[in-house]
Amino acid sequence: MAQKRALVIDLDRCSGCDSCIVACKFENNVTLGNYWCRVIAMGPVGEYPNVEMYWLPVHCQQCENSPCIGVCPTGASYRDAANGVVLIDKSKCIGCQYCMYACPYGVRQYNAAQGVVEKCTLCNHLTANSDGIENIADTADPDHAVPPCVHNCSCGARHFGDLNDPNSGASKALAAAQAAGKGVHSLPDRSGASPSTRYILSPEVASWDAPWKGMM
Amino acid sequence: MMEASQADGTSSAAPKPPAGLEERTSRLNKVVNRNPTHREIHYKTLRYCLTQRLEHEVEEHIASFPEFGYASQSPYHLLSFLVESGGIDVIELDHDGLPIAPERVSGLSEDEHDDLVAQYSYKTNDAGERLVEQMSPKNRLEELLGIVPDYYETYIEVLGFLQERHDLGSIDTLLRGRDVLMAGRDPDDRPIQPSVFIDKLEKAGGIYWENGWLITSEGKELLDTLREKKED
Amino acid sequence: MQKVTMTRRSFVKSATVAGAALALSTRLTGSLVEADQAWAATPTDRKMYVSICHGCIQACPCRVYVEDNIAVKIEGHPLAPTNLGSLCLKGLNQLHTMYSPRRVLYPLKRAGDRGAENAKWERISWDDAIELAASKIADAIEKYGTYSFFASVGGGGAYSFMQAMTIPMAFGSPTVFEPGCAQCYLPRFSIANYMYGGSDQSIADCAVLEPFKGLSPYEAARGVSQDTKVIVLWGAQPSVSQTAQSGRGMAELRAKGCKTIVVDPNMSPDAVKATVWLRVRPATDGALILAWYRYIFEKKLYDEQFVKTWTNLPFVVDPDTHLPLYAREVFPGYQQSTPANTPAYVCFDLNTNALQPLEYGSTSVNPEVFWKGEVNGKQCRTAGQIYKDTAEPYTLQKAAEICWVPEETIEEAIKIYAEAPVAGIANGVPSDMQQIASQVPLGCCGLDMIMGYVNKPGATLTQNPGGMGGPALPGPPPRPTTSFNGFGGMFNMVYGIGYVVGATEEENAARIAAQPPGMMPGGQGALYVMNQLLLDRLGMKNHKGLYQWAHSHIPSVLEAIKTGIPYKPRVWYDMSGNKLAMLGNAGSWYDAFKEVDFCICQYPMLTSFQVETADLVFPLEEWLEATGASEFGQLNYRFPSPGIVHLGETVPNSVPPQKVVNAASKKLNDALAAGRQIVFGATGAVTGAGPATPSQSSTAKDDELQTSKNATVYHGNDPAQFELSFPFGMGLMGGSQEESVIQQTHAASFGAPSYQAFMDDVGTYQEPFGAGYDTPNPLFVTDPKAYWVYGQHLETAADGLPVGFGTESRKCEVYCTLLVKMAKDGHPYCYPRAQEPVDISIGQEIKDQNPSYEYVGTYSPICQHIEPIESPIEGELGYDPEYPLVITSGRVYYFHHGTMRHAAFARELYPVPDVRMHPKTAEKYGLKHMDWVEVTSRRGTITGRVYTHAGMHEGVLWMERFWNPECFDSSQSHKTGGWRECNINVITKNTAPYNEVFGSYTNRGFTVNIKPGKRPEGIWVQPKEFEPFLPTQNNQYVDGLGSALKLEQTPIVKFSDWDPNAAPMGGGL
Repeated sequence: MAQKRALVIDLDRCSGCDSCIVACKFENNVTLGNYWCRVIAMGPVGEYPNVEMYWLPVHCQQCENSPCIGVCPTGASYRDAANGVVLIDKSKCIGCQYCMYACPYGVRQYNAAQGVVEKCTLCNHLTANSDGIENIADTADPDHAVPPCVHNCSCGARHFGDLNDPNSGASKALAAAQAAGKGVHSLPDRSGASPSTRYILSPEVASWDAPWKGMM
Repeated sequence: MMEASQADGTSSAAPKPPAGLEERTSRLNKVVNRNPTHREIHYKTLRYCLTQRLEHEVEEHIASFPEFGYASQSPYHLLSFLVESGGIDVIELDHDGLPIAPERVSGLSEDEHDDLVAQYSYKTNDAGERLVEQMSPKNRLEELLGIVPDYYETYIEVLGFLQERHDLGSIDTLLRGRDVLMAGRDPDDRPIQPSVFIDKLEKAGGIYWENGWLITSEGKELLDTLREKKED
Repeated sequence: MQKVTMTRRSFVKSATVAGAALALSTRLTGSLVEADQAWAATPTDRKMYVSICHGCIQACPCRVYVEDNIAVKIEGHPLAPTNLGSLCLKGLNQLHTMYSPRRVLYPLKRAGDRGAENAKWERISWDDAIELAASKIADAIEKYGTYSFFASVGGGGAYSFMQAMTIPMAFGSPTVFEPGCAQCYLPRFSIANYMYGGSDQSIADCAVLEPFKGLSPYEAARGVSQDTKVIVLWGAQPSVSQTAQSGRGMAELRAKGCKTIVVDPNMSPDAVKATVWLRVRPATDGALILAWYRYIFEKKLYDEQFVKTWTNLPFVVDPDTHLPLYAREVFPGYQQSTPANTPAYVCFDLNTNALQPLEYGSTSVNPEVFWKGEVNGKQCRTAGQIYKDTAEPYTLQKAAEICWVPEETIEEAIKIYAEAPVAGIANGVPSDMQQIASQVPLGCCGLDMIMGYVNKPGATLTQNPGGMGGPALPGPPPRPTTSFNGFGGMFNMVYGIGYVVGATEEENAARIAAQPPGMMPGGQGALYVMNQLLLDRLGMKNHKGLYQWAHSHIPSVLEAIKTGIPYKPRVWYDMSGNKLAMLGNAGSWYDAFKEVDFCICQYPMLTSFQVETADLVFPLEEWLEATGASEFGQLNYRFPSPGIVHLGETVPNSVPPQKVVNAASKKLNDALAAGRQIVFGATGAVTGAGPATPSQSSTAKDDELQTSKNATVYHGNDPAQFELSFPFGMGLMGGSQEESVIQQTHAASFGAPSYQAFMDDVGTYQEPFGAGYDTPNPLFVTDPKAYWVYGQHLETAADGLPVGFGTESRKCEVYCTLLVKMAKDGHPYCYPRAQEPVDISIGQEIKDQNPSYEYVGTYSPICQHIEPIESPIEGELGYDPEYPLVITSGRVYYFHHGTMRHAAFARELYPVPDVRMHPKTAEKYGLKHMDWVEVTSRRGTITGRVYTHAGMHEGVLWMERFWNPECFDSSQSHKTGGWRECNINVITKNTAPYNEVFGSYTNRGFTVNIKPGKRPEGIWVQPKEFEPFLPTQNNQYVDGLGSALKLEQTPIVKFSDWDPNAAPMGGGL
């Protein structure tokens, strides 16, 4: 079965600390002003004492029908043949930025210094074969490595793995959330891109929809 | 690198406008009083340069101050602070020992300008002169003596005591346990340390340290004046 | 372990990348690796070490990866029992801190005039630097006496706390301060200690550990349970301030269904996720706490058995002394059956309906908690009744009105807290920064005590053996006692100073009498001097709580520097980062710098403070370089902190103070030996050849000394014993001469035969689960059964009674009698020589602010509400329509105290401080989200950016401390110190009224006005502007002259290459 590698993020836990952004920057040498992961404050909605909000980390959603691949004139935007991860081959990228227009979530960034587009790669260089369940003796173990944004998350909110493998870290987190009756969401999808990334958010913590209503 | 104060190209013959003198003196005051270990050095340098001096003369003079032993900058640096803060003007001298007028250097390259200069001389300007007047130990001491009437007699006694060199220990032994240390204080407070008198007299230019505390010449003058007045 | 390609992680970028600079701030020619754009095919060896991040106070275990002597990656340690692998952005940014172009790598001497605009530096040798510092100190001491020296240190997480606290003593001076201390943790730490002799309610300072028990799957697998089901975060936001450690812990707790109540004016992440959020008006927590008491008393929700048995609330109190009556005072001739160190008090006994003696451990008496009546001809109340009466006005409605929180919300919170089987309060730092710094922890600890939430699973008031614990001493435990002078009573133990609470007066006196004469620690002479140093410490008469950490009252120190009265501190050794960003009303300090003769600093970088005023800077190691920088564990685990990499000539923080003390002591001892006198501020002139002649009589107020012709300043002590030498007493504590000694000791504590073995075999000697990564190594992990212990007070003591608590009554003193005694004469600190009482004007100040104030006299032994002196409420004493908005502060995730403002990856996310406000507030003042805004208090004006947030109360603003290191970047044409532009500490308040016990001034909960502003000149805002902060070869503080002359300087890359014995050494220790 084709792999569906993605992140599952528990927004009940996410405190908006931005550590995932910085972990990514160090791992991938992302230049100042560019962010492969951004964390958006959703809300607050309401007035005290009935006020709520949550934080939403946004990065490449690993869409199943990636519009970014379709529009790329050179094939720089591609899906990895082995594990299905959407990636960019910088050596082929001409920096036309069509993919940036096509991406419904604005997660691609133009790197002016290199003249290419870049984005979250799920740290495929570390995780290509990983099941997303870390080996505590060796976090670089390629069978079990997770992206540093997942390892270092200060709330234990991030999970990684192949959602088509029920034993992956991401699948287990998703299954637990569903079993507990928590809300599982994905970003609004008007273009049929079918994002793979999943967000867990319980209504007691905040309403997923409420802030969107103000923004759309 | 110090800059000649008349490098703006205006004629040196034009009189400086009196406006701004207060401000310039105040700015200089801040620099002169910015570091207690440099204060007296700055004051005495400004006073020394009321007469135009050559650079090496100033440096040697600074190095001769007893206070210089406690400074943490070289004489050159100390002099440069006074120039940068607008208390002393730099006057470039040519190989004949004459001041170089701005007209001679306008239009020259930096190297050509440098070739003309044989040495630098320094003269305290109007702001420096004004500060010297304000900061004279006589003025400072008189002000000090008037601030806390209860301390007056003790200041006079200490100045008298320090006509001979004494270390702090002797002064402390002289004063420790005396009522004056509690003067004006809440009865439940601690007494002041005897060193307070030393600190204040030094800050007023009345005493200085050189292997012990000693009265300055200005301190002696004031002491003699006050004693004469008393006898009158 | 897989070998990994390194080049992605290299700090070297190829020359084609625009704007990038090359590698590192050491000139490690030959070690620089060139990078390709794509990944190199050749793998490079990568070594992993375990260490402890020192990015904030909590110190998170981490793994550090090193390639070619360069630290290239840090990540959270998966076995850390609270972190569970988390590491926050503060930790991640440590790589950019370690390799910042702002690092100071060599001793620097100021080469120009003071002031940021002029700042120039000259590199000097270590020998010269030590000699310079030592001569400045020795000269000043010889000229002005030992009180001319003073020290200061930084706040929570500061490395040099012990060194800074003891270096003044080494020179015979009483003056040391820290901008935190009374404004951070000291009040909460001390009050808990006073109330029950135990651990306080601070999460940040790792006093509260119980809630994080059992979160680790490894611990859970060993049968450790997770027992905290209800927790109150009273002015704490672990998710922000200790993001990866207790922040992670809070996330785990909430995920496990723990209910949380958050008290915070700001909608922090913990407030966002709280079960109930009480959005309290800043500085009104006293009223809210008293409302909790009132509700709990009224509904009888308190643990009645615990209150009767284990608190002093049933004791009848004398209205004149404010102290509980002893049984012998009401029942003359009464002989108590308990030992002399466990007094009998008086209660109203419900069994006999009469006043009765109340003995500790008695089961025959049923004391009434709330009683009033006549005793010995006076109208008396029990402590419980006093508390009840104080709380009476604070109905839910009243609290709602004062605190701006709806009644229903307050009630909901109280019910969750009080109806739980067990709960606990974690009391955070805001109250320490307010006038109510003693009142709030009195209230919060008292609440947990009346609820019986003490020494129980799931509570916050629990006691854990420190560090590795160790086997219990054989035999039953003794009657507990508490020593208060210094951490853990260290000065009690060393000098004998201070009254040991829980021992009798006779025992205390006997201990003092038994001390031999002489100046060695433990001798009568040293005791005399130590006592005098306490009495002469600035500001202590009114704020005696500061003795807990032997610190001075900051505004009093400032006043002494400015005026020279009662003595002038004038040579300064600071061991911290940016005093100008952290001190309240920073401008008032700046104005006093011109009175300071010489300022010595030590820090890894230059901040505003060094740039404006330091004359000499010692370069310190960052934690990645320093062995044993953090001797912290996490819960029952220990983790090592090896020095992993090294740059330049940096040294551990413990080295410069030791060398300076040695060198200055030698100069002073030489002077004494040559017959010159040194004035020891505490005693007067001394020589090495013998003591000074006793002088004439003293009229100073002193209990022991009466005005007398024959009395000497030595107060009856034999002057022959004051033969002083330097360093005084114990000298510097925590100092070291050589890093290699630190390394050996550290390695040995983890079972390694040598430091080399420690560093070579990380799996065995650094990993808590050893090389197999499966079972815990007992050298690293304490058996949870020995660590998580409860009910200590219920065990049987050697005297056959329940152990109890280390207080005079042996109970939890919810009515804190120690504070009443302290105000009178400095008990328990100033013993054997007592101090004058607190000025009654302080109590009067409080009464003026609060006319309905119940308690008369200082210090209050119970919680109080005090309306902030800068009040936003019209009609209140301190109201001024010019300053209508209340402002408070709190952390943001990006920074710890004054650190990390140089971290480019932090600054691009948070370049300038937000001024948080409600959107309606912004609108009212003509502002929009992200506009520049000027914030003005009675002290001055600063600038920030508007951040609108609907969670804010419309009358409240919130802004974190800030300073801008770019303002003195070498690229700036006009340099400033960067501390005036956006720093809230320019406008905070360091004037009276202070907290009565600790002298805490006001950093939070004062009033301001706002209006549109503009971007300050010189500050950086856009991400790309922060390029100069990225690691580069162009370190800013390498000697400019040396570079210009192209002098060949061989950088020292290993500390062991530098011979510390070459530095001037002194006599003395």
